[in-house]
Amino acid sequence: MNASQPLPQTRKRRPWGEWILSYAGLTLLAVLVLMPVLVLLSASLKPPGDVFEYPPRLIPREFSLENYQGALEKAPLTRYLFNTLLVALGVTLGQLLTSALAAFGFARLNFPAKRALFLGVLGTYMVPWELTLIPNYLTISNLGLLDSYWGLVLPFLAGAFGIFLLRQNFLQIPEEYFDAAKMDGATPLQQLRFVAMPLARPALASLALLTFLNTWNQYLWPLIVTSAPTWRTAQIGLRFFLVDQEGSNYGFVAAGAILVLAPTLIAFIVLERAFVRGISVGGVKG
Amino acid sequence: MKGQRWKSVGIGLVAIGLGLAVAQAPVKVSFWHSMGGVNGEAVDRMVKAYNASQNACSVEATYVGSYDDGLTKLQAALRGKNPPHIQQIYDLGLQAMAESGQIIPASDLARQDKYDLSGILFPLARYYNLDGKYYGIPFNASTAELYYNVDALKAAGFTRPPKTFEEFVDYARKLTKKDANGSVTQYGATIRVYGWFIEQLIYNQGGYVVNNDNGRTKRATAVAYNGPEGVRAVKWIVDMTREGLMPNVGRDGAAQRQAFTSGKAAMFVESTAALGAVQREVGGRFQFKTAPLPRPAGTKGGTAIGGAALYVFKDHPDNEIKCAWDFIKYAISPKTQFEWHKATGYYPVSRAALELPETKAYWKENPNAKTPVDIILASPPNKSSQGAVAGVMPQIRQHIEEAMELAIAGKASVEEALNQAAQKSNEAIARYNSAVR
Repeated sequence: MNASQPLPQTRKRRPWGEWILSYAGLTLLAVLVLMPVLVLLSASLKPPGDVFEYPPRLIPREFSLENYQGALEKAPLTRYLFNTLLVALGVTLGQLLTSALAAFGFARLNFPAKRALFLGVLGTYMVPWELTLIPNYLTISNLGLLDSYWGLVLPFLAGAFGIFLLRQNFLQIPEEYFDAAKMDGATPLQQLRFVAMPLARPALASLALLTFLNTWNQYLWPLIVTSAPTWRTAQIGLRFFLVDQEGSNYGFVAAGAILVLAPTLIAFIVLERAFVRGISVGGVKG
Repeated sequence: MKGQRWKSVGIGLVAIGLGLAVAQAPVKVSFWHSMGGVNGEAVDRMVKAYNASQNACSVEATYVGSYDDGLTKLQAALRGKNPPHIQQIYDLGLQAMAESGQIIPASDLARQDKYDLSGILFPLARYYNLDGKYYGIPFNASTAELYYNVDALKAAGFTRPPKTFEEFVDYARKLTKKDANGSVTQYGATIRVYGWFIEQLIYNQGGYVVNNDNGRTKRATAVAYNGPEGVRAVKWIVDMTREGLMPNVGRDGAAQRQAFTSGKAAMFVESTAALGAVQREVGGRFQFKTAPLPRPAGTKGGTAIGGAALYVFKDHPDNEIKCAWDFIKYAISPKTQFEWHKATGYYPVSRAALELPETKAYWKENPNAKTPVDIILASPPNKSSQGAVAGVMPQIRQHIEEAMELAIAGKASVEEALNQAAQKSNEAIARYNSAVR
């Protein structure tokens, strides 16, 4: 917090040359970063025969929705996308809740073996997830949750990364806020809800975004715990179009990828706003 | 009173209906497979047709990702004690499956049913037989072949495909074209970094990938791919790539295929199962044909089979096992195999399917579809083209690929790279063998 340093009243305008140069550079970088997505979008909109034309062209000679139609027909992508969305939202909400509660405990409360417990939580972060695949599968299988939303959501409802991230964040909030809240008679839960969470909004937003994207992109876990199409997720549907030796239908792959990609872009745009607002809110109060 | 009576009649009817439904409810059998895209649709059609053909059994097909993903799912399912009834597992899984103790050998199922398995194509029978027994039943069969652009070859003055490594290099040099700026407009060929190709090129010279005659006379204890045949095969590819006759496409199968189908490379090596995709992507822009893989002049041999087999898993009630076996019989029946061949590019697994008039008529129209059968039936019946068995074949393939990458990058000579890889493979074999025995 640099509240003590006054902001400069007027900022010197940058010279035009510098302005143009930096924008040109940024535009170039943005195009480079966006290129794969643009190529994907272009391929998805080409008629099936044109995907492999040489030399390749970015703007399709003829626009066609045939690939989208085909992709939606060949795999139950709408159902899969719905499942993915539900699972990703469920996991994200669960992670935010469990991480905030645990992080607040570790940051602000005192209880026996706190340090040891926190180290234990961090320890689970060091375990590669591949190692937990089979044990988690056995747990879910024994609970009778194969082929269900619970099977897809349950193992990811809490995670060391979220707890660690929010704890560090809560620790940075000045003690005075909490003292003031305590003076007003706030319980620890109220301190979390009305003091810590609003001030940690950027951290919450980035945790939400990361969790949502990670869950959205999961492939192996949904593949092993689901077999019935009713419960399967979009990444499995996408994999169906990618055939190793025999040759994939790239039009379908592109259309499917755009369909699967779109919701994550929306999630990013929505959360980005929260992210930016979080920064400004924190800044004004600080 | 009256209402009461009707009600009981109604209940009676419902009960009878339920009874019938229970009596006729087909036995459910799960079938995990790794066929995506067009091939996956063909599997679904096959399963649907089977379910419609009888009332006793109902097969449910589940796509389980790539072969390797499928094995991961299987491993979890086996630990959880709920394996599928049938799973399609690739050729390399043979020894590991046979020794897993989790499957019912297909030969046992056939014997109980008095079903004759001698109609399976000889090269497949040789590959999938271990200690005189089938553990799985070959279902989708492929091999490696050469695809060439007839128009491009004609333009360079060639009327037939190259037959030897030396000829191939000569062709590639003449087929490689550059524009005024010196950038390549057409490459002679493209062969990606893929261990399976090296295995096939070794068999095509009569060599072995692992010792003890490809692990067929005794359990393999070391690899043999760093011998002269393997060195020749890898060197052939590495030298052409470094000379600029082939683009370096890495391990990417799609990039390799697209280089060919877009007309950027005039020849390429790929699984026979890619025929449908190549056809679709070329889209009639040029004429292409398929041919056997080349081999160094003066050597003899033949390629082994690729593809996958169906395995039946233990710990299911007898009636379910019976249904699983019944479906496998349906899947390898001549008519089904012909439909499968037509839809996918895998060749039929039984002699009877080759003899069908439909098959012969189809081949007349599509000579490229017949090449794999010609290749595989021309393979000499020795232990080289029988194909290697070792529990760690997937790792061995990885090691070969790492060696190719090192050599292409110029970080090691072909011999050095292969010897280093062989050392890693031998350690893996030793670990596997000590774990099994």
